[in-house]
Amino acid sequence: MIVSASPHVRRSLGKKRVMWEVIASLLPAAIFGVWYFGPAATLPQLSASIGGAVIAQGFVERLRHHPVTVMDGAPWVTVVILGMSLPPGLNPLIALAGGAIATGVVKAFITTSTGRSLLNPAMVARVLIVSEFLVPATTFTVDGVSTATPLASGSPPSYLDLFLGMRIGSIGETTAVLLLVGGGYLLWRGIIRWHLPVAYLVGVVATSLLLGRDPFFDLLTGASILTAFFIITDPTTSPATVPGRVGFGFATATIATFIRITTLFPTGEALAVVMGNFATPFIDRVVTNRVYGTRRRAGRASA
Amino acid sequence: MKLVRRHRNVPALEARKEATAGAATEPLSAPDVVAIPLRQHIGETCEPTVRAGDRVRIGDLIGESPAVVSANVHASVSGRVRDVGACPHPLGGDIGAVVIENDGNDEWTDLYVVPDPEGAGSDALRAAIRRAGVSGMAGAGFPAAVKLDPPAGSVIDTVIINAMEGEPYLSADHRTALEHADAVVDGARWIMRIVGAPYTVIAVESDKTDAATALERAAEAAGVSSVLEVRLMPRDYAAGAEKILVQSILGREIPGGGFPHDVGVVSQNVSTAVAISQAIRLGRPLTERVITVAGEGVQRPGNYLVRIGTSFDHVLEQVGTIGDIDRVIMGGPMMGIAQGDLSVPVIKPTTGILALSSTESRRVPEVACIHCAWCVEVCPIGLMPFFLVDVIRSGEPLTAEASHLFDCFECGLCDYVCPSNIPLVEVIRSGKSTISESRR
Ligand code: SF4
Ligand code: SF4
Repeated sequence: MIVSASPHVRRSLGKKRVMWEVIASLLPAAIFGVWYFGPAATLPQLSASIGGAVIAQGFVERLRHHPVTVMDGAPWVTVVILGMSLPPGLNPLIALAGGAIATGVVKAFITTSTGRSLLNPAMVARVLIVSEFLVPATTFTVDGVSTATPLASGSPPSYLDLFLGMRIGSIGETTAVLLLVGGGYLLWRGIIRWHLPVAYLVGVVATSLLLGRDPFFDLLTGASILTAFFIITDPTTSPATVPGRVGFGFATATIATFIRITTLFPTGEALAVVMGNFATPFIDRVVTNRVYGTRRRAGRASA
Repeated sequence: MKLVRRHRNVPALEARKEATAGAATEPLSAPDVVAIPLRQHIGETCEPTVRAGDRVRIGDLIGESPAVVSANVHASVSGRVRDVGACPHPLGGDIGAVVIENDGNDEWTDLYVVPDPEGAGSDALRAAIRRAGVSGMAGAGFPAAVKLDPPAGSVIDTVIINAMEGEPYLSADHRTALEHADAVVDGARWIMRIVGAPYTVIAVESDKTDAATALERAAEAAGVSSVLEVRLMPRDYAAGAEKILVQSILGREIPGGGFPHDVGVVSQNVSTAVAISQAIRLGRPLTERVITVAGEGVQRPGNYLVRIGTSFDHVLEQVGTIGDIDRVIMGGPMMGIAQGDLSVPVIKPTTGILALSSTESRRVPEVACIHCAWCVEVCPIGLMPFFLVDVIRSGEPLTAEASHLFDCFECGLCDYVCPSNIPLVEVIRSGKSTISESRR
């Protein structure tokens, strides 16, 4: 008989299960992207970035003697999101290098003592791909990826087209409807809670209105929906308490939307999320819950 | 019946009460030998008042202590004292115990009933409760007479009778509230009298409508429905914890390290209320209690009336076991204590005995924390368990004040929801003992 500490029961929703459910909720949007942009322009990019990131992560974890987490699903969410936020038609070698370098660098240098990444590797990769390989990425931008204003194609797409995802953009970010379905599933399962996505979407609308733009258009273009439900909800790099999350979501959205609108930089969301990530450990120290029966706050507990 | 709304993010625990909640309480046959520990409560261990060879009847005093915080112990069978020695304690370690051979005659002692209880003062009533050895029948087991004696100057405006049984599997309190509603209400009346409180709230989970109805009827029959309210609470595991219950019923928080009487409340568990009623009305000492016996390893799960001092072995033998048993627990699966030695006896705070299979307990290896903060969302106290665990494991020095470790009442929710299977409670407990040791 086992004599272990209480509790003696455990919920069946374990880490692996959670991670595969998140991936499943991303799949509809990813599949749509593959269909819409064509397998030739998407599958090599997806597999190259995913492969590069997974191998790099496993390698670095082994080197640092951290537990190798590649097989419990968690890194897969990150790398799937990374793949989905790449422009279709990107040189697969760049996708591979971007995924590998970003994940490797984050896992090697930007972690807590227990091996938790402080930055979202997918977003670091996206930023890296755009700045490091500036030429192909900006060329691509001129082709119309991810810019808020659809270029060159004559009449602007209708709201319906935007909602369905019939527009230019990264592989997995265009279809608002399928992303909402996936996000709704995660909310329903209790895997994510509503505070982060809602704060993010409110932030987008507020910024858009402030800049005198059409908020619907800004919600439905770029990576707003993907970011709200799947990127800033990354548990590892977002704050732990509800007020912390609301502030984080809102601030990230504001920065992201501002960058996206006022520059032609196609990775506004990624840059903003990475900036937000830097603030997360600080937020977690400062914005904590009040402890029952006291006026004090819970917090990092060292003397 | 008023319904209190849920106010926190709490996961619905799988209740797993189907097997026992509908089953009426049955007496379990008494064993040939009982071992009755001389401490079954918080406080001082009793001195034995009998010697090997003495004849005892049910209800005879066998242990008492001059200390204020203590509770008398009584024989639960009639027969001959075999030994005054030691037995393993379900809370760990060994404890002094009186071992009695049961002669099977079930002879009772001459019960002492308070003369004219209705006219008696608080002290006389408390003395009756103390004489009967009543101590908390859920949780840690605080002596009831002490709990009903708040420090001079405290004004108690509300008595809370806790019929919440959030722990999965357990339904002994549910059955007691249903089957002994009159005694619950009577116990509540005595408690109000003793502490001078004008009002009682009996807190019942909203899905136990049968018990709630029975309690309301009993209150009407006793003519106390104007001062005694049955309140339906959300079905939520943590809602029954004393701290949370006081908060959700009265909006008051028990200060850290404080007691309910600090905020004008005295609370007792429903089974304890029944024991109080029996102590005052019948002069009957606490010698038996209802426990839930359940889990996949149990052939005939149910609620059983068991003599104090009956070994777990005897109980499990009577109800039959099946299959591989992963662990045997005293109490519920969230806060109960796994037993290594089944010769441990049933004691006053034993709410149940669970024999769980490995599929039920579902312990899986720990993986790295993903910072999902589910532990933070569910903590009823507002702690950040993953932080605590990080710090404790890093070996950084801890202070009780800064860490709030002692505000954790080890409800187990953080651990239950953690997708990475981190043994949060175990680590928090080790942090607490590190601090306690460094204080010595
Ligand atoms: S629930 Fe577990 S995995 Fe999630 S933050 Fe808490 S300790 Fe970490
Ligand atoms: S065991 Fe302690 S830290 Fe964990 S949820 Fe319960 S009170 Fe909070």
